[in-house]
Amino acid sequence: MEPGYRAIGMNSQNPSRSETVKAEPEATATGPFLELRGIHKRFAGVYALRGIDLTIEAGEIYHLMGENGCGKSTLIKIISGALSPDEGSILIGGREVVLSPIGALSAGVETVYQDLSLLPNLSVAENTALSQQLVESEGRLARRIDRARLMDTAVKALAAVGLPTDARFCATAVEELPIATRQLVAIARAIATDAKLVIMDEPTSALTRREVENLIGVVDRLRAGGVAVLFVSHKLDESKSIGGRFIVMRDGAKVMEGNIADHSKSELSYWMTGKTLDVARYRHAAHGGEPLLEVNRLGRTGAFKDVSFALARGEIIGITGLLDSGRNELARALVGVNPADSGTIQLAGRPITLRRPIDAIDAGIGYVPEDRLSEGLFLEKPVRSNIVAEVLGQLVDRFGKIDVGRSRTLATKIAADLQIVAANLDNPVQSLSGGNQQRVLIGRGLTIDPKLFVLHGPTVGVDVGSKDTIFRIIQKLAGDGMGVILVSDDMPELLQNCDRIIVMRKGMIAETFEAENVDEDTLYHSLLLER
Amino acid sequence: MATMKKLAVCALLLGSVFTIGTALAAGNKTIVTVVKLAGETWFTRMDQGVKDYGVKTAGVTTSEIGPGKADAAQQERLIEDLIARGVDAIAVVPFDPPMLEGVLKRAMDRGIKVMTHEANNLKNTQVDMEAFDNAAFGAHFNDQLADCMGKSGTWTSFVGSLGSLTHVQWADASAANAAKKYPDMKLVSAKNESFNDANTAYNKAKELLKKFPDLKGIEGGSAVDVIGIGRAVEEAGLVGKICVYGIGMPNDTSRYLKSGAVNGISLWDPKDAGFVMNKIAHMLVDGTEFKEGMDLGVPGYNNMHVKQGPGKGIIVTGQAWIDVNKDNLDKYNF
Amino acid sequence: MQTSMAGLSGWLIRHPPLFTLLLIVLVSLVIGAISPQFWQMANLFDMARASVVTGLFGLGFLVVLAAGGIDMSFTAIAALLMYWLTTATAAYAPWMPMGVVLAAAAVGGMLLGMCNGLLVHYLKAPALIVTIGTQYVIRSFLLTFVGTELFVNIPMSIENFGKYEIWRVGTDNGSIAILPAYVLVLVVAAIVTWWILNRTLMGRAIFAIGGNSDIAERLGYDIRKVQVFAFAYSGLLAGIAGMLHVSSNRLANPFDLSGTEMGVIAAVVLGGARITGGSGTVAGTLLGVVLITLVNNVLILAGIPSTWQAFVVGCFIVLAGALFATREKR
Repeated sequence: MEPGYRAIGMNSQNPSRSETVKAEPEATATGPFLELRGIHKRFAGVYALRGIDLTIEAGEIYHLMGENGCGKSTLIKIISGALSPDEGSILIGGREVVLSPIGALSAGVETVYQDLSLLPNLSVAENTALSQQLVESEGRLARRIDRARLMDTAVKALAAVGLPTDARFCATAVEELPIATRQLVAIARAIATDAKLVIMDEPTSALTRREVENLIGVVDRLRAGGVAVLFVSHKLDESKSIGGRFIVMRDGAKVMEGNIADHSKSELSYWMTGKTLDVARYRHAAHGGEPLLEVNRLGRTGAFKDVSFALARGEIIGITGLLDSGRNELARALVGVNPADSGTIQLAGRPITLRRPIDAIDAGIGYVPEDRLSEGLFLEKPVRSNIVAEVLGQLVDRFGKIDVGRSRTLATKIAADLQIVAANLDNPVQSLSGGNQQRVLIGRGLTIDPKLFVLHGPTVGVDVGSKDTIFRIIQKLAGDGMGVILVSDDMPELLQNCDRIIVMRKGMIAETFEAENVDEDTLYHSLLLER
Repeated sequence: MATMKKLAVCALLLGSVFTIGTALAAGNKTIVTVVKLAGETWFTRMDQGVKDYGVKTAGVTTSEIGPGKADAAQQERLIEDLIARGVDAIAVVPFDPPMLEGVLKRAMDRGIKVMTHEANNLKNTQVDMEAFDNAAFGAHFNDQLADCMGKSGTWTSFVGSLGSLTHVQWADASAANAAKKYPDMKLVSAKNESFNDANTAYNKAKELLKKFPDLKGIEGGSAVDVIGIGRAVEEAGLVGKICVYGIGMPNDTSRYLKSGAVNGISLWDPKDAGFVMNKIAHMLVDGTEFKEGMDLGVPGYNNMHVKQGPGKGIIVTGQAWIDVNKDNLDKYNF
Repeated sequence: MQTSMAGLSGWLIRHPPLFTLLLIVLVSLVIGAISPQFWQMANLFDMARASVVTGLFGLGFLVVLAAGGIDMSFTAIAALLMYWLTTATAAYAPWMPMGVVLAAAAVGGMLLGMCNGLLVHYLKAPALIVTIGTQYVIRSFLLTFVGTELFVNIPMSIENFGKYEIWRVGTDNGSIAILPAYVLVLVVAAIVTWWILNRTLMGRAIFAIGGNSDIAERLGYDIRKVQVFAFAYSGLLAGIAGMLHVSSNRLANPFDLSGTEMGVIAAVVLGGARITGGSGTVAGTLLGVVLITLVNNVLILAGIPSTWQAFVVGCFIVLAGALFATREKR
């Protein structure tokens, strides 16, 4: 096994500095916790990082920003010891180190990955506190577990993030918890063992606003305790409301850093993308065409009830609400995934019944599901197959075989329309960036030539530049006369794109706003009313 | 021109290959014996008889093969291979006779002579050889058991599996014999399956002893049944109180015969059977006629009874059983 | 009524071994009602005795399954070692005490299991395929190079080990029922397995990797170590089980044990372990083994023809599968 971490190169380049460290070992307490100097990383000759310098001070909050592919993930992997740099040095407490995964952990660098990296079948207590004993044994497994200590550590860490600490909760398997609670368990694990730096990779992408506020509270407490926190996030609004310092990366290099409060969102996105983005409304004129969709007193027991609204051709309606407001269930009912059990739906003047997804496809309703990874995409399958997956029936030749030529033509056209950047449409979809994956999913929805398009959280986990592209696509579709329903908890996204925004509470439509005449605060207020 | 030459050479070569092949076949008749399970003691002993025939008889090559697992499908595959190899005759001890109808028919269609053993319900065979009449053998077990039980009391029987025809025939004949001759004997839970596994026979025997506390006699079906039954009887402390008879191998069963947990075993010598099977197969290859009362040159097979089988073939039956018990065990060292 | 039924099924879904226990109780009540002989001490002894080999296999299979693997080769490992060691001991060292023979079987099984683990790890192939392959290789090695004949003259030390008694009772018909000492081997194995799974880092690492190996690796768990350990442990128990089989059966038949894999897998799955890995308990596995043994051995008491036993086991598995699938969907 690797030792925790070892100091190297003390006298190689900078003997005077190493002497300083020797003379004043305690000086590190006030110096920066972690320093990166001139970090370079190449993959197969291609630069992922070019000369990154970074200083992390104890008790400070950092936001690492940049588009997908800018090198953020590589940088995080280097800090957490999963990758080692080709050039440059890492200093912890002023001493140069070589990091291994276990070494980084014992140095106090904890990472909360986007997928949370929790073990679904193990208990909350084990997920929180077992790593401590694994790190102490340096990865050796022939060790007894100190259960008293496990519980002790777990209880302290859970209490620190505001989770229950009773025996029942501690013994619950993580897979039985809601996503927001899992997020907090992941953070509890990160701080369970004297964390000095907690890295959070897009921690809020699956959370509602209220859960995000709870998370921010936890982060504040961490900072107060002298822990540094490094956020990786796409949500500029959130980063601004958390505050702290920011680092913007582009093409593997650091392009800007500073205090986040001193800069506007448009400045930040300019640095990230290198171009000025229109952060104002994408929607310019209301498009009230002939009526397309009429939903009348739609209901599903235990999810939503009495939902009525109408949508015209070329109109974009946003639906929002808290996680338990029924918005997700309504979206799924409109595409036949979890059918409604009362009320009626009329599409283009014809009543339709949606019992299964295929009914919706037949009726001409396209759907981009919420979770592209688990619900939407066949990750190992080629981009092409993913795009044409819903229209296979139309692509078979008279022998019942898929006509590869026609499938390729269709996929190529869609990929061009949606500006999907893929080296080869036969590559697996998982090789694409999040934004491109999302566009593949939109492209699939479009293959059925829908009259109505339901997009469920279309920009979750998508970077700023890709968001821009996706919004422009949505506007173009509406411009061509398609009706669009956008289900989202991203307020700016709704305000920028919709004609009207429906706010749901407790399974019912609470309020409907004209998007042009409403601001974010009013929307949030409406969302949280009576709670 | 060059192409023509090549073709000519090829034709010549091919021709010579055929000639050599035919010459070989004409010189040496191949008889292959296919058994239920390679390596089982019974068939190892049979192999001696098979080899013996090949050694003692000029112009015949004999061998024995069998699947590594008691499985009808594997046996079928072995026979397919033999058809492909084009052997002269196949002698088969089928695991599950009906399963082999198709493949044996194919063999006969290809001109391969087919004889079988322990399969008198099989249609697609030219000769089926039975060491003895199964009904007589079953009745013989039952008579031995009845003597031991004092002609009254509860008894039961085992079979290797319900698909093993001979086992079922013995068990049924035993039952019929008891019903006819011994009105005071009561048969319960007949034909328990041991799946040719001594441990299964043991477990089932224990259950039977529990279920029927007054059980006085057990008949084994497969060759390992008596081993399991004997152990169960021994462990229950019932040696001498329960009569156990069945088919078995002298060496494998000797300890239970000596302890008295097994009263007696009857069998036919698989070595003799193997020898006779190959003799019959050879007669088929030579086209010799099968006559009532013929002598195949081995004790117990001196006066063969010939009758029509269920298909076009015939069934020949000998009188080749031997009884082994504590007293004459030494004479049978296999 | 409806709510109490829903409550019951919910409870069973959360505690799969209790479902197995419920089935055991039901089967016992049914058989006991048909045949009063069921409620005898002798029957309990027979159940315990018949559970030992399946139980050892089941514990090994549980550990491999919990680590996200599947082992199909344990019966072949057991058959090879039992036959090889028995014939070799009889030929060269009939004086060898049973303890040494058992230790040799355990070490041999462990080594074969380690081969499985290393193959699974380095080939990155599904454990199911790899171990089906090694099963064929081992079995064919046994039948080709070691022997195929029923071997009855087993060494006295091995035979006597199977005869040690803990307890002996008389029954109604004057016969005696014996609880053999080798039942204790299963008890010890169960306790050790429980301790490893629940009280050591290795145990938790096994579940971690069975739950999600990518994440476990990221968290610093050494996947190779865990896989090799799981398969080695399964092999070790298989070796011991093989020797116990010979010892209780008093003969070594190289064809024995083959085909019993499915019963073992059924037992572990009925005991509440997910076939996809990452779950399962020792208690559940033992209950599953008891249920399978019960069905396989005592249906005679109920007068049920042996051909129907497989039917009953099949129904239980479908039932349990349906119930546990509900758990997954929640």
